[in-house]
Amino acid sequence: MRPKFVLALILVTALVLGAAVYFQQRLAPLPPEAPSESAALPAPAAHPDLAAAANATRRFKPAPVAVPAAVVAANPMNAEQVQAYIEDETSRLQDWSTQNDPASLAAILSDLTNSEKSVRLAAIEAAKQFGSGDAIPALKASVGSTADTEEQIALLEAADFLSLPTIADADVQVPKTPDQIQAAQQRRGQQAARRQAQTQFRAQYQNTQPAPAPDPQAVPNN
Amino acid sequence: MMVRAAFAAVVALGAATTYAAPAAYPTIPLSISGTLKYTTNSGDTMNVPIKTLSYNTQSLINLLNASPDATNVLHFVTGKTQIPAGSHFLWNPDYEELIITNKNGFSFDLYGSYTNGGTTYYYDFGYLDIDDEGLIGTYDLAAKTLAGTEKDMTGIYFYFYDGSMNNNEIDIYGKATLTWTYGAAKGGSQKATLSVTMSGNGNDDCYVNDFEAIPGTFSASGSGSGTVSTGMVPFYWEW
Repeated sequence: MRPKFVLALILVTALVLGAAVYFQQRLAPLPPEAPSESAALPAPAAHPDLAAAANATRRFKPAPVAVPAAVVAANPMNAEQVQAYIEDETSRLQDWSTQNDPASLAAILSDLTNSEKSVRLAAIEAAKQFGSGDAIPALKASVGSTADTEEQIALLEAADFLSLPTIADADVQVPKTPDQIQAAQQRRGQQAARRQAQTQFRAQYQNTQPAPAPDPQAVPNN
Repeated sequence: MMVRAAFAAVVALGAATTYAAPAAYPTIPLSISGTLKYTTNSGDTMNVPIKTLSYNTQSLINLLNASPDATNVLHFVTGKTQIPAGSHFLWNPDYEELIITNKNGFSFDLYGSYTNGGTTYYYDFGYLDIDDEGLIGTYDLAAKTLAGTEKDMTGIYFYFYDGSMNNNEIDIYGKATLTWTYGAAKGGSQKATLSVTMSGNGNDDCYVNDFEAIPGTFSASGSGSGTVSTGMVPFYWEW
């Protein structure tokens, strides 16, 4: 074959392929809810050496997270896939919320802008569970990125929540004076009796409580 | 408090736990948080401010770990002297107990018993009841596949006590919304996904460091999936 003919053939082939790719991108339907960037984030490893001691307040700056470009699925997710994605991401948030490292906090905060509202709400709760005041700026900043009143309130409440001392903090659990101890002992005796009664009642109830057999034919009244 | 005994099966949740638990409704990770208001004014001193504090799963676990009574029970029940870092609550709408667990197999039910020297001791550091008899619900299931959704609302009662001399106790009434998604039935069972949100501020008896306290907010949320028998769907039941 002549070189000119070969070159022309290559050029035509390249043009055809380029046009095909261009129209495929233009015409491909977008997913109903594109998965968020954080979907691609790996769950951080546990850091038991960083485990929070009792009464410790977590304070550190979240490390920057490399956020990959938004992943556009070749095919749109169906409702089942969206549900599965939400479950998976919520589960990851749960895991991150029990950790005590900057990467976990950064991963939680990145989900404050997730495309799925339920994931964003789970991220707000995860931030509260993580318990670091370092999340406050990100929570407040996210208020402006949503028009959803419920979400705005949740973000502000979470920011307030994280600004409070916790029930386990040392300045809350302060030692008592002798008078306070005496009064407390009196009251504690009464409470112990009440708790014992409640505990026995629950134990008895759970061991003896009859319940109707499930009837698959029964039509619930609602 | 409810136990649907007809659905129940004995599940060993640790050597010390001796009561029945349901077989199949999803047991879900539950994140608990809230605020309390209290004052350290034990007398009639003027201008002692009312303080607000927060609690979440970790701070409740920290209280238990700081409590000699709780850690003593913990040691009898689990062999551990502290609740490990990274632990969280598990909750089941039928079982209603709060279990602290982690990924390494640790499991500590906040309510239970243990035997020492031939004597059985009961303990109670917390639970989260739902009012099944006051449950209202609505559901929509496909006739052929039984796939569908359900939404229930009911009252709750949350109890936490750290067992310590410091006396930290939270007793709160509130409400819960249970949102169910059911997959298509297959072989007499189907996938059930449960998402729970709870809120509350109804005070029963709250103490912070032995000072009277009043609940400000309470919230609990979580979600998870399991496989249920078709006879267990919907969860809603008119008692």
